[in-house]
Amino acid sequence: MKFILRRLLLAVPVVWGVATIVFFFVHLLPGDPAEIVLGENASRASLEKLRADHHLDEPLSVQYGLFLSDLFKGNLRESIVQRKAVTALIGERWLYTAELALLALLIALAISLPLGTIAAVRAGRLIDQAAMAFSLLGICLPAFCLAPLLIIAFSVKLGWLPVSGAEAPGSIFLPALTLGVSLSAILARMVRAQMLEILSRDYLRTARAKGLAPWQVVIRHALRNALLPVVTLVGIQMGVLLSGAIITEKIFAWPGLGSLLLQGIFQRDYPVVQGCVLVISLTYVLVNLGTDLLYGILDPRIRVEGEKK
Amino acid sequence: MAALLVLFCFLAGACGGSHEKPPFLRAALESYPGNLDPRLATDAYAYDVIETLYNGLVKPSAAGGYEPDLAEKIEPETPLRWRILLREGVRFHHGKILSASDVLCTYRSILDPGLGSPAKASFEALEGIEILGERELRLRLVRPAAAFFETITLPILPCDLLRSGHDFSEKPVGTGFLRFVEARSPLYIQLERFSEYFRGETSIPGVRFVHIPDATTRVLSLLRGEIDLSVNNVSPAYVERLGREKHLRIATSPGTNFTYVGFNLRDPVLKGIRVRRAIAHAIHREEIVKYRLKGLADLADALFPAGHWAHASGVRRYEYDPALAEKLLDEAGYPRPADGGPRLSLSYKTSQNKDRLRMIEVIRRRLEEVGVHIEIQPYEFGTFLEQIKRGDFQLYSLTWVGVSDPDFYYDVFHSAQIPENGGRNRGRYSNPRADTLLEAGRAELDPARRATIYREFQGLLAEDLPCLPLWHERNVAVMGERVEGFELNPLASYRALEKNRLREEPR
Repeated sequence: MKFILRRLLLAVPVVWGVATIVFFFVHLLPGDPAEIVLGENASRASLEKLRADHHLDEPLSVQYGLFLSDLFKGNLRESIVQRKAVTALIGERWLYTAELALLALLIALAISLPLGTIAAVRAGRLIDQAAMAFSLLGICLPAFCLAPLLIIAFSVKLGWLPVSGAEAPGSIFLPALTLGVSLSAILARMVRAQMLEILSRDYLRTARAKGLAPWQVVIRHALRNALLPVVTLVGIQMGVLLSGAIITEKIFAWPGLGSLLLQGIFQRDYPVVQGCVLVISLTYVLVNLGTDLLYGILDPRIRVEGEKK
Repeated sequence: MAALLVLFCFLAGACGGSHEKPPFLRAALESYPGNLDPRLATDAYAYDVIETLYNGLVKPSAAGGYEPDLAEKIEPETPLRWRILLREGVRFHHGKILSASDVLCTYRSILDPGLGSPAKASFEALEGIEILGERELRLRLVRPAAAFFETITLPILPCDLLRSGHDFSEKPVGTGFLRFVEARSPLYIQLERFSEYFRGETSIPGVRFVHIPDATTRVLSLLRGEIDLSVNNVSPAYVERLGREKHLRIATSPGTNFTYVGFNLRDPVLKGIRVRRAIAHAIHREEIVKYRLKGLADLADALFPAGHWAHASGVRRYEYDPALAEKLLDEAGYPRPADGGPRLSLSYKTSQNKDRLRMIEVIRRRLEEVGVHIEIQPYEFGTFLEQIKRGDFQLYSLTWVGVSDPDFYYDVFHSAQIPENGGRNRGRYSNPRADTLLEAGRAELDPARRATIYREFQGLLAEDLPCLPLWHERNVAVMGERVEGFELNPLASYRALEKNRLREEPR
């Protein structure tokens, strides 16, 4: 518990640092939000009013102070373009992002764990080569190539799944598959490498000598120990997925956090950009914390050593 | 293993759903509208939806003028007094009957500084409004303003809801042929038929504007039949391919979107007319229209296309003539250097739009042939526009969209309108004769006399060449088999859906 609290407290300077960097970078972007929102024909009075409403007419240092004080109160302000609370906008989008990230991860694990394990157990054989060829393809094929191919196959030709959107049943599957395939490709290679190293360890020979069935040796003793570095990678990738997969979201018109952030940048909607980046940095902190806790479950030695300290 | 099973069940469930056609028409939107309150909307996508939900006193006509919409009659008693009679029995979506006080309330709310409406500037010519009766009112202007017709295309909102502080961006209420059902940002906006629409009920049960930001996905959605209608948001490269599909039909019509090359007239090289004319003669516009735009554009000599009342025929045209371009460059003091290098180098700024970049690449090659080296500089749109406004450019390309009145020329070419003064004269063009004509044009109410003034102005513009007209993009609608009777007008307006029909069964 102390560990979790300490990590959460450490997150405060991280989030503050990210908030500060984003605040200044966003304000460095060329383009006046008032002109972008109201258009070039807007009257000077309207432009000045909008700037005053969002404190855009104040010196940057004053704006920063106001931003921090609002942030301290948990107020992410109102979107300049959509005139809605940024917390509400992020709340709507984050659920979609989380749903997509979880399914993508599930797909990635469902593909990579058996694939990596079988490839390691049958190292050098045809199945290993095929698995690694798939993995290489998955790594090389970017989302903007894979996604249209999946749409053509599953939506246009087979007619099984909708092309885009988030309303029709099954609409999450293609974006999740796009993200999941590339993630599974990376994970499968890592699982294979870890399994190859562990399968040659002495304790596995002992396990086999004691008469355990081969699958029990692989699943219960080898795979569990091979998972630690995989969990680290999953943690990092989960952070990436939860920040919104901008390209995949755009292709499938998936209303996640990534597309909100991108739209915010294009429209110079400062509160939206700041809010999104803050949530993303917080997500990274929490996912890293979750990963560290998972280490303890997978390998009790880490927990014991941590407790000794 | 469990995960695999979950996955399998999910896939099986998802595949079980049949691809049924919903009882409404689905139209693709490239970007999700920013705000559906017409007083606050600024983007073209919001206007696409707004024009189906609301009506103004007048609406743009296909010939470029205006025709009565909620107004039955508009009589300019004097150039400064406009008497307006409203149609009888027009209902808002919540049941209220339209009256003169709704017009007054709408215009007052726009002028209210507390609202911060971007439309406020267009009402600068309005001095006051007098209510003359239940359906009659008078607009008093501070100066004669022909372009005020464009101002009164602005939708009218119901006074009772305006007074109660109703949020029109969340729940729009107008008099249009469709009424608002729900909006799921950023997925779709659902509208349904308004049975008490004053021109008679439309035969479409409803329309769903579906947001599909990716160009390839829009094409695939049309192929799959998930979208029934796509207007001006399919790249020309795909149009021919889509036309070969049995279940899709393509309609095209002359359009008003005007693409041009802008020159910075304060640039030491480009301030010379010979250099600008040389560039104009070196660009092979026909080639770009034929091969890059697949014929889906018409060459332009000025902002308004043929068919528009302010169209100027017979103005100076710059045909592709590389020999003449080279001669003009020699005369301008830029001979070909003996070492074979370029005569001069220019930067060409643009957005990162792929179609635009391909087009500029062709222009670059042609200009290189006459010895003008071009460095293409693509920027993110906000950054690009900021640089153009600051005057930090030599050449750039943009498209003017939805311009219907020539008073627009005042905003972009009058010497008082340079960006430093808050205007849009980005090329910093200045010609006293042009200023005089533009001032006369906006004060003249007689359409024939206005047309003469703007014809002279456009002739002058073609001589001075502050920007090179390239082409008018044609409107392109891709329609599914259920869409019947969609008339693609020059404005490519979704108002055409008013007369549409939706087939129950595929042909």
